[in-house]
Amino acid sequence: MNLSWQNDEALIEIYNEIDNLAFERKLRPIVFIIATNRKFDLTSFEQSLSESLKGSAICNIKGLMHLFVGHTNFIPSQNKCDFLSVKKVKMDSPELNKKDDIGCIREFQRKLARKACENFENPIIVIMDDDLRFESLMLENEQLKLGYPFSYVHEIYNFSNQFECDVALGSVTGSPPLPATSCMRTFLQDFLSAEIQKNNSENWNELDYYYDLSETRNNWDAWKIIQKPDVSQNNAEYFLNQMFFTCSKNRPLIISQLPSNKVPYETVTRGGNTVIYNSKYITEIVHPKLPRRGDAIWAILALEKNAKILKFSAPLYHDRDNETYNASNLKQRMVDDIFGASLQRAMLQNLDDFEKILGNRIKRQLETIHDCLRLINLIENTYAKKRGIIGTFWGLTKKEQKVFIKTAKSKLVYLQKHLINYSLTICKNVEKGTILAKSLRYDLTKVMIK
Amino acid sequence: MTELVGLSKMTKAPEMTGNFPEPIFPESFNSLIIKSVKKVLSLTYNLFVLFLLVGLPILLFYFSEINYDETIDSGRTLLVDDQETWYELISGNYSVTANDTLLHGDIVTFNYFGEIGEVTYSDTHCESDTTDEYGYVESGDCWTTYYTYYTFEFFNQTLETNSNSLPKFYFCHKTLCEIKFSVIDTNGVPLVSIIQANEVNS
Repeated sequence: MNLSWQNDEALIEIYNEIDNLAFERKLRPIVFIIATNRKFDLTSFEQSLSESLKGSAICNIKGLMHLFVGHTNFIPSQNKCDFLSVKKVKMDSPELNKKDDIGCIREFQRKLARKACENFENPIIVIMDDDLRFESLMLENEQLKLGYPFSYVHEIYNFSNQFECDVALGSVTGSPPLPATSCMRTFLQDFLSAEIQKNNSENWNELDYYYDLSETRNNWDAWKIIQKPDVSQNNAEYFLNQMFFTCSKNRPLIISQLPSNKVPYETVTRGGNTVIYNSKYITEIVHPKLPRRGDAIWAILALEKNAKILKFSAPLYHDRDNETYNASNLKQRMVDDIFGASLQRAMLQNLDDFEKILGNRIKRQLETIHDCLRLINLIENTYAKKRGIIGTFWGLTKKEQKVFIKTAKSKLVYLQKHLINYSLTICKNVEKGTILAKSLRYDLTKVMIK
Repeated sequence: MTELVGLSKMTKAPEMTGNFPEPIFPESFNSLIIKSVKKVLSLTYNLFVLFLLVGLPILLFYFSEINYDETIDSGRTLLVDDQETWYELISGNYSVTANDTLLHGDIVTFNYFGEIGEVTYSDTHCESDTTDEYGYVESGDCWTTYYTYYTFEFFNQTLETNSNSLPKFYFCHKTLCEIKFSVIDTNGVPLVSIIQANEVNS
């Protein structure tokens, strides 16, 4: 796989055919839809899209690509891409001021999707998160590199040419789209291991290698540290940010094969990268107002309405480097994710099992936190004979080690207490989730999709 | 169309929980030894801090008391003749002094003839009462320490000295002696320390 698709003859040939169809006006318009209550970086978005299309004739065609942005913060009035028309819509719902309220944002995305359908004929709608870009994280000589091994826009058309589907649910490279509470034990596994000699080359193909709560993961061993900070960054804060916000930088999601070589499978796991080929599904089906996993529940509802949903083979790049951890947000994201993931599972299996599933998930999360605390206590009483390699706990100075231990311990205790309190309200939450699922299904019966 | 993987494979995942092996820590020192050493160092440090905070002021206070005494130390070297005339040594010569009261620090030489008496003092210390398992109160034991001071007459007043001085002047009992003493305490009966005593052949 090349760092740039412009060096891949086979891809150039496929993309040229798509460019020709574009010149013949035979391609459906693409509307990117982003809604956010954070500051949206339009310049970075355009730059990334331009880079991904560099060298393609599609950049000379106007009226094919559009961006609808729902925003609460300032966005520059001028855009630099000639081939991209940008429509900005101010979001003024008071609910949107709540940080991290993804449910409300998703609902606004539906409004923008309806507008797109009114403005364009049969558009392909790409609903994406504000922190996603068009590059991909990949491995080159055992090193993580950012590149453009494929063109996301071309892959949208390519996918629809190959597979019949209503909705394609894409993934991301970079930071896993999970709260850090779901990855922190895995982070500690690498961070606390003194030295791993074995290369990670085979590990990248394993399932859920970053996910503590995975039910399909087989390998729980430590990985060799390949992402080392600079000496100036080698401090407690750098690693605390990974443990409590971005997840391990040593195990990001990467692309290991080109989208055209992947066989898509049926899925309902939806994140911030969704391609809607049949816009009726997004305009007609109500999006559940859930802070987390609402999109996956939307996908289940679409599936129940006979949508053909496939895994979209072209990922986007998820970058969390511009923010830092916030303990209060994290505890809320943790319980929201547990609730959403359990409801998602219950709706797929049996809604009557919701309480059992939720209880089991809380238990596993508590076990994870407890295990992390146990490890932190262990390292507090371990006195290494010599300084370890940078990128591990043992490569920190004694002072920074103490800061890491103290902060991590207090954050973990804080999360533990919050989760125990949450577990005491399980009956109330089961009732809330059950009513929500039933009402969503009731509303679904009234939806007509041809 | 390409063959797809079914949804059922994804949703019916086995119920497995994370099973992380223990991370391999680096070669380390014995934590028990390190902890013990740390405890000792910590204790030493704490004691040092305690000394700085508490002990040092006490010592300063203690020494400052001595300094205080020294400041009122008369510094006088006196000779009292048999007519009870007081002379003070000033610049190598004895001069008559009108101040005939013993002061702390005075070094006095005089001729003594008389008896050496003794007086016994006692100091009693009682332990606190205790209550046994049946509720009976048992009185604490009392310990009495006795110590003897020795007395001799210095013109119209009695002086006392402790047992350390006795070997230096016991032979002066009813024998004419030249005694040189220093005044240690002037509160109550003056306490002196015998520096030297020599029998005078008359």
